[in-house]
Amino acid sequence: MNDPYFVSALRIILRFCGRDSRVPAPGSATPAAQKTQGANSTTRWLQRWNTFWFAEGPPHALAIMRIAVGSFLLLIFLRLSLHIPMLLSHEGLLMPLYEETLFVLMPQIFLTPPVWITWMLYALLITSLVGFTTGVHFRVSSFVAIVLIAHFFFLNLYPLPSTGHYLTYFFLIVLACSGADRALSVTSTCKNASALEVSLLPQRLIAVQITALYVGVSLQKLTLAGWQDGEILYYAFQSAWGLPLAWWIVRLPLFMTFYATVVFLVKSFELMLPFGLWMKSTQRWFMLAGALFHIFIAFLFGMWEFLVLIPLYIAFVDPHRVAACMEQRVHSG
Amino acid sequence: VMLKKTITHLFIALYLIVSLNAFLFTMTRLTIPGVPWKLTWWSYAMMAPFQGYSAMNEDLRAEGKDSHGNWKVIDLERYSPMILGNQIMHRRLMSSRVSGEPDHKEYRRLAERLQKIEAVRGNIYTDIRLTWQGWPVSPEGWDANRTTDRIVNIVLAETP
Repeated sequence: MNDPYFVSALRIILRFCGRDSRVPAPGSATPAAQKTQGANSTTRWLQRWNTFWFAEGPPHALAIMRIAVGSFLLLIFLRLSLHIPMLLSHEGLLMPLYEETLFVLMPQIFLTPPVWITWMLYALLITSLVGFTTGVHFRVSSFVAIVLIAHFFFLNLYPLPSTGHYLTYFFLIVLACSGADRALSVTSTCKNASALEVSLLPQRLIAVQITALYVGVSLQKLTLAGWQDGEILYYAFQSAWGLPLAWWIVRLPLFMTFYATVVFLVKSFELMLPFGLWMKSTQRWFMLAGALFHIFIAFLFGMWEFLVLIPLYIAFVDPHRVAACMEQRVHSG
Repeated sequence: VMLKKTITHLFIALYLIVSLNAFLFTMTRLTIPGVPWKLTWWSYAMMAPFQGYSAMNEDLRAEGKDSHGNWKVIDLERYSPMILGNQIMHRRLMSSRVSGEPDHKEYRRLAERLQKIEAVRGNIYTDIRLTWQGWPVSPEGWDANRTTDRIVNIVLAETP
């Protein structure tokens, strides 16, 4: 037991398991010492919990996410601008979802709105999204954007959102409650607020949610009957979602083995992706691979809402590193 | 400060429980009793994979009977100005949002609404008929097999 190599190895294992290497092995400790050890372990666990969720750091990474989410939402709603009367006013085929919510108390004028009301609300939404993206009146802008997007969702957009849209709305709410306006915003330029440290809780929530997305999606694909061979891909290429690239592939003389192999690779990649993103040594490569993966999805199926995840991979990067990197660029620029 | 931290702890715990519940639902279709379903659904929606594939392509067809008794196809594309995948989803979910299955009552509501809007546009129809159509997929194109002999029609609603 006194072999120094054995002791060193034990210490490494204990350290890896999250226990202090100076604490004796459970079998050799007295009940009192075991109790202390248990308490230490709990304290350490709580310490980790606090360090993870309640850490503070520079707001640069959050600011980048704010700009990405704001720009993305602006893109989504500006794209709808040509069809606003048809989609969101009484000129269109509205089937509001309000009766299933508390919003049923809303005045009728907002439930089947005339075109002028819709345009007014739409202009307000665009203004608030510009405010959110640039950091002008950040809290008010965020609140207005959250409310109006919910209103348009219940009015007629509810059948449209995909996983990507739900995620973007979640990110909007999380960022609205953060100090994301403290850097890279009009306000921060005026007051030089970027030197402040902010709570990193919103950044952690975004990283955890992205992890949940990939873990949930990949594990479900491992068990869903439809994802056990290549058929899902073959038929999806020929569905209403297929874009020209998908149609071109499906017309190639490929065997079903090709589609089955791609499905297997996709499942394996999605399972590995969250781990690769959390690990500092591999995150750069997994970010690149994740970006390519979502770009392919956008070109094959037109599901470009997932592209918002690419800039949000920054949630996995140490915010101090992001801030240092940006400051270095500013100084060298 | 203590109160704020306690509330934040509770919020994180709630977030993790809801996410865990959504994950459980994702894998087993079971849920933890007492966890709000709407929050769970939103969380599930943020981690749900594409699973709606079929060997049949589908779409909603709307027809209106004019004063001469002729049925005319109503262009629904103008009411869902978006890419094809979203159009189909829009037309399907507008009326099957509650159960996930086509809701005939909702489709009837949709038909009545369509009749009114078309009338405002100057297209007076005495009757409106909504049909859900399905046809086999084809590498030649989305509606390459949308031919009379291959289409499966399900009438969903008819007014009056």
